[in-house]
Amino acid sequence: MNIGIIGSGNMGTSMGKIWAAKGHKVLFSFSKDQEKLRAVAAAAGPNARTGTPAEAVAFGELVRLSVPWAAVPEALKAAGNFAGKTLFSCVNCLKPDFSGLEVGTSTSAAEEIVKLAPGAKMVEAIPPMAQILATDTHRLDRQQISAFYCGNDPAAKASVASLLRDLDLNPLDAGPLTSARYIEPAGMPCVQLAFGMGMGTKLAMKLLRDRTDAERSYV
Amino acid sequence: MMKICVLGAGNVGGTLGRAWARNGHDVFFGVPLPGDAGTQELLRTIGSKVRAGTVAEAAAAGDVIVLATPWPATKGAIQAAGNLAGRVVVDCTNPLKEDFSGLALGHTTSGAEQVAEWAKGAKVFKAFNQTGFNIMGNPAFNGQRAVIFVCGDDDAHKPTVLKLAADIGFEAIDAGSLVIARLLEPYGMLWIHLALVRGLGRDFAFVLHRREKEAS
Repeated sequence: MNIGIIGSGNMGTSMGKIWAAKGHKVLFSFSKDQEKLRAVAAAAGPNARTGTPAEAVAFGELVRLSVPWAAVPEALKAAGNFAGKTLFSCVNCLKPDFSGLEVGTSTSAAEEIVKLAPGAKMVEAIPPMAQILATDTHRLDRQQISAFYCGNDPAAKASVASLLRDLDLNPLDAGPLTSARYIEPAGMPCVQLAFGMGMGTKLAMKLLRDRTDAERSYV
Repeated sequence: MMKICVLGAGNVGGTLGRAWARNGHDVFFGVPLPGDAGTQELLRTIGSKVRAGTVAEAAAAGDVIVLATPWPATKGAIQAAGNLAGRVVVDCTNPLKEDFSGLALGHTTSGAEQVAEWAKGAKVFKAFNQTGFNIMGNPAFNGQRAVIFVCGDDDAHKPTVLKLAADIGFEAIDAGSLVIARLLEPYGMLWIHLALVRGLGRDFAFVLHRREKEAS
């Protein structure tokens, strides 16, 4: 798959490198430091290159948005027209001090983003911490981490789910795009534990379904 | 052993009360109609270490007051409980809209903060809003423990609430101050949405993984 990546922080680059290694074609964009961006693409190998956000959109069947919440309007303005594109957002509308979310409950970062990208087949997925994705294994306790995704276009969602599996994550369909109102804050307890409670960033949530009959019969 | 007042004897309150009674705590359900058939049947199936009374009677007797009411009944239950100043209150509610389609409050405040405003002076904690009653009965998944987050502002009593969760088999994690309920309530909403709207059913839970636990 051709993947355009807008955003050159830990999240965008660590995922992009893995997808490039898996055989996807990746175009990195949107950095204040073009040298750094070129170094990231070089490290990602022959399947990676750099360009502008508009080029990322033109190049990608799927466009990954992973910029800070405050940078979203600038990034989307630079990206131009998303009509018909799958837009895969990992943006959580974190306050700058990580103390909470800027918007929520009656709307979500995903729903606000798609207003700025009319016609996009928007999918949101909240992945584990970039610090986990930056290491060799994405498993904790040797188990896969769950990553929720949501959106309104089934084919676009299937693409995103497949990319999440490439990252050795356990993708979970949380429903339509309005589910972003839940999956965005649901990612926050881990952020709070890591940064608010000093537990460090090597933690994540997994959804468990397998249990023994004895465990299931609780009364 | 603690005296635990559980306000509400529905799925959540009934299951928590049963689990605590089984673990040696004294459980006192506070409900509007203690003599009704449902409550009496619950007491009968739990057996010992349990009784039921009015909300005011139960609230007067507990070391800890556990709020397990539907959101629309929560304000009334707190009012019926009387003066809660200085009491330990564990809020298990989600401020659900009546059709379960979302939260009635959020982000700039939370159900827990609203509860703290109503229960003047109480030491309010948020917990047990994040999974289903069936999981509260036994939070084990092939031996792994589901996680329950606890938040609240009273550090002196937080270990008590964490222990109550651990007593019934959860991994209990301190998530910080009461404002963190703004996160734990939508997180609870995700469980509800997956279970009831997405068709996952009730038999799933979240576990917290930490790399520190991993063999190196």
